[in-house]
Amino acid sequence: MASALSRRARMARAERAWRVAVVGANADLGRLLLPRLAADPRVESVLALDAAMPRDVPKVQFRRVDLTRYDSDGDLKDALSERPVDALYHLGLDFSRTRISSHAHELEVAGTMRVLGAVAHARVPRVVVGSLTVLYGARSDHPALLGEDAPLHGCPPSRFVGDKVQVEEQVAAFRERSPETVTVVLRFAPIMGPSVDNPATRLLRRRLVPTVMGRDPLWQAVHEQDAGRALHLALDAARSGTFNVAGEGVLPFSAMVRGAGALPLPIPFALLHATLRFLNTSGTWPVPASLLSYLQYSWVADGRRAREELGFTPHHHAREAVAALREG
Amino acid sequence: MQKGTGKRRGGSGGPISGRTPAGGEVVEGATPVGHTPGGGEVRRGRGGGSTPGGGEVHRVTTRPARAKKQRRAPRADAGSDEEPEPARAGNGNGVDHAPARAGSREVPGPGAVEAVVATARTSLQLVRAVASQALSGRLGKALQAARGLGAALKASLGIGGGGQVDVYGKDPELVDRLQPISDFLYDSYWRVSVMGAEHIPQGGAILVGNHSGAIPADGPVLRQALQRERPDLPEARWLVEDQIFDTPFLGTLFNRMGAVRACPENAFRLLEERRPVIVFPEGVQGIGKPFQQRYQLKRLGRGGFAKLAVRAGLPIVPVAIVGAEESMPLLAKLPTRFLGLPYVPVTVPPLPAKWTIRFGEPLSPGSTGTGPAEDPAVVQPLVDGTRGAIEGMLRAILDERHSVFRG
Repeated sequence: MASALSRRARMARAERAWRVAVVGANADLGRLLLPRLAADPRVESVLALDAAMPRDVPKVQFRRVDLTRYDSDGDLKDALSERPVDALYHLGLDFSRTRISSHAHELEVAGTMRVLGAVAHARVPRVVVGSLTVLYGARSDHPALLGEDAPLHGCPPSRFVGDKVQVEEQVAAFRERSPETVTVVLRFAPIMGPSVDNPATRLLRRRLVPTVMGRDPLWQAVHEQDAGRALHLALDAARSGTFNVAGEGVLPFSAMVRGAGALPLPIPFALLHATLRFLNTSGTWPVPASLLSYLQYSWVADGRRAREELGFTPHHHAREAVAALREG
Repeated sequence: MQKGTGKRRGGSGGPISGRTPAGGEVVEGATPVGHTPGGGEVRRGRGGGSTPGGGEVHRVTTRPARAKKQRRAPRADAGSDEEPEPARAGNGNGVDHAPARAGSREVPGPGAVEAVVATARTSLQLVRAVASQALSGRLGKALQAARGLGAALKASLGIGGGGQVDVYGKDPELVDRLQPISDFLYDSYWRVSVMGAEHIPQGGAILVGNHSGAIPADGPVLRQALQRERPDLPEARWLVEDQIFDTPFLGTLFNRMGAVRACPENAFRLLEERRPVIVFPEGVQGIGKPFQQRYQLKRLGRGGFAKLAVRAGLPIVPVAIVGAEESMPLLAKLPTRFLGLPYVPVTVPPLPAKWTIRFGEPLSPGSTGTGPAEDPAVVQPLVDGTRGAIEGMLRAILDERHSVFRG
């Protein structure tokens, strides 16, 4: 009886215009999403939550919340309770150049804890979390295509990847605890495009890209427009679920490098590893040595579920996504 | 070689001679030849272009001098008027089909640049036509093979690129480039003879073969045999054990050539695509056995192929391959664990042993499904049956064989 009532209440809520909150609105994913939400006639207003103000988009109200602050719980709860929110996007992933892993840890792990706490408190009916296919890890024992049920091995030497795995673990636990909330996780293949900045784009925007000699793992890429579209589609997901979001096709890493207009420079693994570690300590290299496994082993995610259940078909091939790096 | 092509050209180029009033034009078609990368082709092309009569031999001697003059000439002509064009077309005519296209494309336009571009393009086509005809012989094949090897080297270094790669990692462009080599090995060198290919059913099957040769070429050869003998089936893929798939260089190259990492998920996915899936359950044990133990089957892994057959409800086709052991005998193993490799094989360059491949009758699992796949009572008979069939066929082929190299 009670559940029937609440369902009716939720349907009534769906009838009227939506209010959507976006945590991390000024990060890459948030910036891709905001214009699409603003253009959606069903969305009445967007509540942008971030430490920095996103650039001006209609319908968007900004509210400053710094997830790395211990007292941000209160800010979040206030922001979500003053007016009911129909859906919340949690897109606070840290792709920055920082080598200070404690900042990323605070933002991602502690930040997610705070966001999910506020979501539970405000009874937000729908949560969409941005994640990465990087979390499957690059391993020699992967099958050709990784389904969403594959374990998240992460990349043990990298704390940055480990943090993001922890975020997913928290979200999985939250999904168990609150089955009445539709919880959608989107795992993005490396997002490429003129306006995004992440470790993969930083590597590929170089003119000479070091590769591991004798290896040419298969990579995927998703064009930033496709990534934005997938985020927007998650608003209509019928039920909770995790979806891989990848562009069409796969490319060997060397083809990606060429597609980005750079040249691959094959270096024997031991030498490359030692060099990167040395450069990492001196702080000049944008890619940590701990992520080298992604240049050794394939990590290809299967996008079938997103196609079938979310209705997401990429418009761009990985080739186009990589070529789009040159536009920026 | 040169003479031969020259003659051919001279004969077919008969009509041209009438149309070459000015030396400049004749050359014209040939000049851009000078810009082509391959020196060998250049000569031939020029010879072809400038053979109005039959005296190729003389022309050969005069070539260098001409080339220099000609190089300067064409640009002026091309810009000045349309006269050179018919001559150029004529030139082409003698050579190949290129001329027809060339003629239609070259509408005498006012733009000098366009004319030059068109000239260059026609000439390039001409050169290509000449070159391909001249090189259709052995030299051409050797060149193609060298190019294929270059591509393979790049792929194994991990800088091969490949924009058309499928989800399993196969690069169709690379396979195309390697085709001359694999055709040569298949037809002329190893002279593969295939029996019983009709046993492979439509709709997916697991082909189980004996694994042999210090460098495992049996996968790609078997794939090619299926392509030749059973073009009606979807393209077969062969599964490669982790120890080889993970090897730098070789593993990367194999993957680009179409090898798929051996694991149940991949095998199942391939079978769902209704492909024949080639497996060598002996794995590294099979290719790592000394030459003295040739054609003795090792343990067939842990019977994963039989479990797969039961789970998928698809038949097993036993395959016996003879010849691989003698073409690349394993002489010794270098211990290279410190490089992350199980060993590096010591072998000879591939020897021209004759290969014989025989496909046996399909073996269908008694009961199917995920439950029976874990039941040794269902799986073990299938493993034993496959083993018996392969051993029987191996013995039969070896008995019939008189000579390792002649078959």
